[in-house]
Order: sequence, then structure tokens, then C-alpha cells
Amino acid sequence: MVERDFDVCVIGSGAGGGPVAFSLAQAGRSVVVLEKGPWLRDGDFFKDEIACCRRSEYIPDVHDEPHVIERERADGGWQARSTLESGSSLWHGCCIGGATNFMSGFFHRMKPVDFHLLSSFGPIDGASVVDWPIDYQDLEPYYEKVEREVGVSGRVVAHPQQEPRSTPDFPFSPTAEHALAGHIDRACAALGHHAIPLPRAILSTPAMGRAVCSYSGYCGSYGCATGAKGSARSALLDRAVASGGCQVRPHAMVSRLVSDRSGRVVHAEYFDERGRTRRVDAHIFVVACQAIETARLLLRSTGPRHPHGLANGSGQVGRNLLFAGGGAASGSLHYDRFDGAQGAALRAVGPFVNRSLQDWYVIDEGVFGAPLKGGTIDFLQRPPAPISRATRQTQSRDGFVWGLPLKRKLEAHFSQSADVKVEAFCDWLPHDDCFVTLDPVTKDSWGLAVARVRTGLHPHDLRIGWFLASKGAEVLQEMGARDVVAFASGSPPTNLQAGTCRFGRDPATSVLDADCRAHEVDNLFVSDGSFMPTGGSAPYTWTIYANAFRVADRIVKQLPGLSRRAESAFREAHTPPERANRGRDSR
Amino acid sequence: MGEEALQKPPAQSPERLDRRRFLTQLLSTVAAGATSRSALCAAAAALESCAHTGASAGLSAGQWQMLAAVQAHLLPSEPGIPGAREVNATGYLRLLMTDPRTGEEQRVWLRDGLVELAELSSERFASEFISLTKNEREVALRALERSPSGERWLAALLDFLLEALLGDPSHGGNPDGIGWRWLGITPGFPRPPIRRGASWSREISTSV
Repeated sequence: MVERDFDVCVIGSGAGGGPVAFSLAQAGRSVVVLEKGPWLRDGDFFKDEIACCRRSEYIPDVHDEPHVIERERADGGWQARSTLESGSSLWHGCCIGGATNFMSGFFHRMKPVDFHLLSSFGPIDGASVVDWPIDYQDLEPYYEKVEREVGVSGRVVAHPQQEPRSTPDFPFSPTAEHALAGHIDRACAALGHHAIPLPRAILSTPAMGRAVCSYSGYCGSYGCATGAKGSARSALLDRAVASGGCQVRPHAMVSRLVSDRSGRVVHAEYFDERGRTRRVDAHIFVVACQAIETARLLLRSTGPRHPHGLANGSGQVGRNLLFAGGGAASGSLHYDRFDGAQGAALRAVGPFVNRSLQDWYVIDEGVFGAPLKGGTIDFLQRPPAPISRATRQTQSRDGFVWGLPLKRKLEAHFSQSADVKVEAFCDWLPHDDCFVTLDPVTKDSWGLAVARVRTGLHPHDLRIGWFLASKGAEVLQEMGARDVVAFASGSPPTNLQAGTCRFGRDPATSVLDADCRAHEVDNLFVSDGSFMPTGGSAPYTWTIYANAFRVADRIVKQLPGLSRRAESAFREAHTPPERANRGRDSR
Repeated sequence: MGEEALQKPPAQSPERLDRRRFLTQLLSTVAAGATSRSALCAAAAALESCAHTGASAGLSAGQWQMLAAVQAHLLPSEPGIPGAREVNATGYLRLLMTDPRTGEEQRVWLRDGLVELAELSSERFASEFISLTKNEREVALRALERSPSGERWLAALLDFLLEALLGDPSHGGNPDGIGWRWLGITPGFPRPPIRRGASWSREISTSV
């Protein structure tokens, strides 16, 4: 059955797709969103650790949808293994709203320096760092729009790394704060650091038809049951659908984008829930499937003008995959150090710690010689995932801990201390050993080639990650925490993906132009994190949201020309005669 | 993204990776969808049909008794403090293993571990595991831990045990939040709806 035409077809419903659908619907345009996952509502989410985190009910089963991951061997070669064999997974949040359903809403803007890393710090051997084709000021109005439309709570304070803002403060006051925040503030002040309130994409007051946070304490990795979390689903798609201009189709797995002899995309083919092949016609197509799957879709969407994949004449699709670099630290504040009230406050479950440090967003202390790009340090409580925490208590150097020793260890673990964690974010440098291709052998349950992902890390990232984690650990020690440990991590976080379709001015070295329109396909946009040539030193979500709002504005501007001048030509060129004869409701 | 914003894939240590990999595969296969209402109802029906013999999920009544004994050793009961029996660990695992979508290989895995332990008990003590003293059981399980397959089996068994201790009661363990109360854990809300299979599994667990 041929679908009715839409102005815009968006593939993917997360942080990249939601703003586009919302903006187009607000502009009176017709938009359809194709999402391969189910449409879960607020009422479908429970604080159930077994469901969310032990059985991974919100991501595809690797038996149906594996990836092939290439990891570096000790001898410098690469070992490829299917996730079906390894048991690991690169999936995150496959449902309407995507991974934004399961974020904890750590929201940081990128800073002006992030848009000009190459110019500011020079090249790094082995890394393909480039400047962005836009400036911070181009994105700033959209960061502000995200604050209003998605809902970001926070409090602006003066600090050396504060980025320019067009408004004096956040539209929503900070969420309730945990007593740990005070301990962090005092430690940072003693060390001469500038602890800042962490902005959260979580509503502290009811707004836009959404309820306030319930402070259950089970936030990150869990779906939000109140709508307070600024997921693309609750913040944007629900409103887009309510406006009447947006249709959301869950269980729609897009198999390919079909292009004509001119190279333009004419329709999206997808499998519906029953496995039937369907297709959607639209003037403009927007891909937002997360970086790996976006690249995979373009690579398998070959056509007469795109023999190596859609918009891939330059061979750049899939290259420069980014995760997030960094490190972590942790320590324990034992309750016996505090009086009854203080101890009780530290035991509280629900409020957010909401503290960050960005004093080393640029590291200019001479430790590395010339100034280097640094990153962000966030503080948080140990997540309330009791099963996960308990399983770690079974581990020891001498084998498993079980029996009464395990019980005493569990009692101590859960009763004696408040555990503080540090997460340090730095750039994951783009380089030639981190990329996505199509695996030549492995297929998913639809018979489509799966993504083969090489996950190489640039060693520079470990240096920066270790530096930042150590700074965080110093704060923990100043707080009086015991058992403080810090480490840098080279493992790619599965929930922080960007790159693979970088934007730029030169079609030979980039996939997208500055508006995130494909250089080679003028009715194809990419609006997820794939556009990012470098990722900044913070979680990507706010930037993806902001850029997707910016892209939506560009699409709105492009559409009127299509509608007035080219619509009839479009229909004539892309409606097969037999279909025109049969009418619009036939396959 | 998580309160832990950085979510890492399984740890990189080869030894740890092997164990985690096995467990992840096991969990994903054993319980993919095990929490759906229809699956649990089917599992409950399966339990009922075999309740008179105690056999289910490819394990004999004796093997379920042996498994319960292993779990009780790993998480023993104490006065006022729950152990495997009080958190319904055996019923919880039986519910998973009788899920229609649980692969046969997972049932084989569970049975193979028991067979290995039974052989080990027989060789060392000329006796069934269930008849061993507490100290002999410890010796047998530590010996099992030294074999790669035994280590993987015990790792998964411990993880399932702690799921029964601290998971939502709707999954069949942690009855009335007994594990949460012991360790002072405040559950999140809203809680998942009660699933029919949970109460069935509790009834069965008392018979093994």
C-alpha cells in the first residue's frame, strides 16, 4: 500500500528526530516519523531494575540485531567479533524517543572553543580534528530553545568557563539537590575550584503538559513515568502528534532510502510490525538513527547515483565515529563521620547531586606543555541499582564471595557509606581507526547487513581522561572520602555516539554541508549526532537537540520552494504511471 | 544515558569478559521477554502441570532440591535475616527456566552445572551434594569454582540469586520486599504490576 505523501519523513525518533518533527508540525507541515522500536508511554515505564538493566528490555536482542565490533588486539591488529558471540551490545534505547527516554539529563552546552579545535590547539598526530563550519553563536539560539521546549532546569553562576548566553538564566529552577552537593561545594571551594550547578533536562515544576519529577531516585537507565524527563517522546513528539501535523509510526524498520537517477531520495522503504514492506514518499528525508545506524542506513541505500551508499561519493560516510572519552573516580563517605541529621541527609534517595566542574575545559596549567582541550567533571551518587551493586560484592581476588561473608559484605556495602562517583568527559578524538562499515557476512533478522564498528581509541584521550579523573578524585579526597580510586577509560560508552557523517564546507572531506544537508542529495538531511566532526567534552544530547532544531529551521525554509514550484513536478517525476492510474492507495 | 552517564560495554579483562559474556548471553536468552504477561502465565501453567512430580525445566525433582541446597549455601538463612529460601531463589530461577522462550541450551546449562557438581561430590565424598555437611559443600563448590565451566555456572547462579534477593517482587523473588528491607533499600516508584507467575513460583519453591 502506498502511503500518502508527507512534506518530511524523519527516520528515528530520538534527540535528532524529535526536534525536526516538532518544528515541522509547528510550522504546519506534514511529517511522518518512522521508528523501529515500540511506542511506550509514561505509563509503560516502571522502576524495575530487572526489566531495564538486567534483561535490557528496551534494546534489540543481539540474536536478532547484532553488530560486529572490531577491537584492537595487543599486537596492534584488529579482532572482529559479533555481539552475538561476545554478549556485549552497542544498542541503546530503541523505542519512540530513543535513548533520551533513558538518559539522566546531564545537560551541558558545547563551548565556543569546541567549534574551532584545530584553529585553537593545532593538529594532533593521528587525529582528524577539524573546525566546525558554524560558530557557537549560530547554535546558541537553539540551545536556548531547547531550554524552553525540552525543559532544562538549572541555575547560571559566574565561572571562568561559562559560555555566552542570550538569556540570563534557565527557564526552570534547579531540581531538588542532594546533601552531597554541599559537601562537594565546600571541598571545591577549599581547593579553589568552581563547582557549578549541573543543568538537567528534567522539569522541576510542571510545564507543557508534563508533570514534575517524582524524585524516586531511579532516573538514569530507567524510563520516566511522569514525563518530567525531557525525552524526545514526552517533550516533543507527544506535542507534535497533538498538533495534528505529525504521524508517528512505531515498529517501522527502514531498510533503505531509494534514490532516483538524479540522485534525490524518492521514498523510504521499511518493514512494518508484521514484516511487510511499506514505503513512504516525502519531499525531504531526515535521517536520525544514532551515528552508527545512520551510517549503516546510508551505506546500504545504494542507488544509480550512489553506488557506494547514499551521499557517500566522498567515501566519508561511516568515518570519524565518535564516542565519548574520559574517566571516572569514586569514593565513599562513611556515615559514622557525620551526626544524625547529616547522616540522614546523605542517605536520602531521590534528589540530584547536580554538581560539575569545568575548570579544566581548557587545560592551561603547563602539565602538558601547550594548552590542551580538557573537559567536564560531573559528580553523582552511586546509582540506585541494588542488584548490580550486589553482584559486584561477590567478586574478590580469591574467588567468589558467598555464604555469610557475602551477607556481611552486602550489609556493609548498603549501610555504611554514601558513595560518590565522578564522571569525566573529554573529546573522543576522531581518527582513522574508529568507523562504521557494513559487515560483509552478518545479517540481522530482516536480512540486512549489520554495522561493523571499529572502536579504536586515540591514546591522547586517555591522557586527558586520566587528568580529569584525577582532579575529580582530589575533590573526593578533600571531602574525606575513603577508598578513592580513579581511572581513565578507553571503552566506548554505548550511549554516547556521534560522527560518521561529519558536516563541513568541503564535499571531498565531509558528508553534510553546514546546514546538515547532504552535499550530494539536496533533499536529504541528517539531524542526529552524526553531523559532529568533534564532539565537545560533555554528553552530546543538548547539542544534538539544539542542532536538530537548527536543521528543522533550514528544512522549513527549503520546503516552501519545493511546495510552490516543484510539487507538481515532484509528483509527476516520482509517481509511477501504473500507480497514478490505480490511485494513491495501492502498493 | 543513565545517572551513570558513561555506560561502558562489558569490562575488558579477558577473564571477566568471559564470565560476563556468558552471563549476558544467558540472561538475554533466558529471559528475553520472560517478564511478559503471556509468557509468565504460560510458565505458571507449565509449573502447575508438573507440580505433582516436582520436575520442570528439564530438571528432576532431585536436581531442583540440589539446586536449592546450592543456593542455600551461597546465601544461607539466618534468624531474622533472609537467605535463598526466604527470597524464593529457587522459585525465581524455576520461573525463568520454565519460560517458554527460554532456550533449551539454557536448561542444559543449568543441568550440566548440577551434573558436574554431583560428579564432583561423588568423587570427593562418595555422596550426593545434598547429603554433604556444610563444610563438605563448601569444599565441593570451591572445587567446582576452579573449573572454567563451574566458575561460569556459579557466577550466573550468584547473579540470579541476587536478582531474587533484590529484584522487584513482581518477578517472583524478594517476596514482600524482604530483601530490600534487610539491606535498607528504598525501591523506586512506580513499581511494576504484579505478574501472575510470581505467586505460582512461590508456591512451587516451598515444595523443593
